[in-house]
Amino acid sequence: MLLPSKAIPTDQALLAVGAQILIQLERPGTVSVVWDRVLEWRSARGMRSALPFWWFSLALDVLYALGAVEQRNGELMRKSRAA
Amino acid sequence: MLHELKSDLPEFKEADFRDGLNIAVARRSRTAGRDDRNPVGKTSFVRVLDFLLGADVRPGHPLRRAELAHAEFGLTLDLFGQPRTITRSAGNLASAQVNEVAMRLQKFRGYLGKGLFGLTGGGGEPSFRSLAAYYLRDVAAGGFSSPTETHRKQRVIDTQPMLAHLFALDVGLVTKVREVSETGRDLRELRKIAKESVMGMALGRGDDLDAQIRALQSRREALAGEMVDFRVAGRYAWHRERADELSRRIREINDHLVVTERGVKDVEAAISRDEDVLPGHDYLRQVFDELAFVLPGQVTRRFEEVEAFHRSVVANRRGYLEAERVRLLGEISRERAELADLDRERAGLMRLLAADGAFETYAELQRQLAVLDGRLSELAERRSIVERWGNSSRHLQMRSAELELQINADLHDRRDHVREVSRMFATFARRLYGEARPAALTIEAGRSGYKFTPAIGGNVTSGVRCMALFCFDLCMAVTAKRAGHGPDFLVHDSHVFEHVDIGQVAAALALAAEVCAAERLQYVTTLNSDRLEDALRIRPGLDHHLCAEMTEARDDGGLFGVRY
Repeated sequence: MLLPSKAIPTDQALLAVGAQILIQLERPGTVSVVWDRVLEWRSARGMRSALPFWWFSLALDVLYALGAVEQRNGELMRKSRAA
Repeated sequence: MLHELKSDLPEFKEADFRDGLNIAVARRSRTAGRDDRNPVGKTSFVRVLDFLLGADVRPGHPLRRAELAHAEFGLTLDLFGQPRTITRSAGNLASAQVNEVAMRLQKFRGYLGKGLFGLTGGGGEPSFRSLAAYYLRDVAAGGFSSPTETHRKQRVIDTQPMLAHLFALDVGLVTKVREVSETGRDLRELRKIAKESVMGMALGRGDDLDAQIRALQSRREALAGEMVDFRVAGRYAWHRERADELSRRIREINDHLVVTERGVKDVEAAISRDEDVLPGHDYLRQVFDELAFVLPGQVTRRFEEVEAFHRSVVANRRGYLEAERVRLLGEISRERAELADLDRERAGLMRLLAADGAFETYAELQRQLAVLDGRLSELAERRSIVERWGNSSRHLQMRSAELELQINADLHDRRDHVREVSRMFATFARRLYGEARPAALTIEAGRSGYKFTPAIGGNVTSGVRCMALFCFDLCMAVTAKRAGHGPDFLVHDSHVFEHVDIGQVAAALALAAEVCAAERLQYVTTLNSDRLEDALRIRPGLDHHLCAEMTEARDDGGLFGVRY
């Protein structure tokens, strides 16, 4: 699930989706807004494969587990490793 | 943090700033009958600070005076964690020095924007100067007339990027709203231009079409006149009109229903997309284990923490979608009920019209009318190709409604943050007026973005309005600083305390001192000495620092110490 495999195309592997989410977190945003940004970003790049919300949220969980994002004041934001 | 304000003018009243509450005092004698308008330099004090933070020097600005044109001013303040000195002179407006290194004005403003407001230079961000205008409001520009605006006649839509940035909301959403609103304005302009003859000719046959339409319309009117005169049935025309009106309304509701139903489908699709194969607990566990296996040593959270985070993400979104679905369904059922009522009434009318006997003759006239109408509508269609942009405005309306929904969702997601801001404002207001005046700062979604309404209730005088602005700014400065979106100082011209009862002035100064201490902020204000003495009688222990002193002596007492 984390890495691309026979069953999971590259643009859907959780780490790839996680990376796409991090790109959208240049600016912090609420869950709904970041979700919309990811969908917009993917459709602008012609990624046709569907991304369900729960898969998006799993990718977020991965980022959270790795300490790459955090939630503050209802907003998701990047967390720098040094901090 | 501001440290020092200097100038190479020999009699300039230098200022040194400390932590907390700083007051630049204007010494006035209380002798009655003196010209109270003798300028001492309180407003100039704020304007010189603003100048050193990159402000333009417009006509009427004190630094426009020939006597001051070559004077150099300097401000030392903390930037990027270190004290740095900015030097600027009205003689060379295009650049400024930072620690004696010259910078072009635009680069200088970018530098301050990054240092004071955390601006990254990305698109959609407000400009540094538009943000600074909230920290050094300009009386002459109308900066004190409304808490949410910094100059007269500022449009609500134009204040959005700044307020969103300062209150740590989503600047990206606001940018989208602005785009829609600007496209709308362009469309309206185009339509206006198209009506002018030059453009009409350029578009080709617009005028020809209009002539044909007019000819057909006059024939149609003649026919319609015949129908009106057709008085066989007494109340015929009246019923007919009512039936037409009902039809029109039914069409309107049907149109709106289509949009609303599409909205429900979108929301439901989103819900079912989310719920499709909703990941069970096992899934999350599996991902977590895989993560520990693939990236050993990188996982910094415990499984329980990740699980709690997961729940909060899913709950936020589902809560919003459910609420939206219920709201839309309610709207649909209301409209369907209205539709059924209207349809019943129309059916009754139609029966009545048919029973009148004259229906067939009338129908013949109507058939002729229909033929004319057909040709007219064909012409109108062609005309509308000339005016193609008409449709775009409808699209824009839908887009703007969608954005309003998004902003609503955004505010829902940030309800804790919004509540905290609102609570802070209410607490500040209560410190000034007690329980007597209910106060609130509401942030809602509107067509032009986030809608800020700071209010202190009761019988509102201009003094109370000034204090609402004071509380708003303080609340803004605290919120922006906490989020890393704003500097650690706030400057107010004494204008903010004008018409304010001395009791409230004293309370406001005490509040500023206290908030500054708690939030590590600096509050700078100018004040007349008599007002300050009165305030100190009420609050003898007020923790403040006199950062500069000016007098009303005409020759060298004012800020610049120059006679002009």
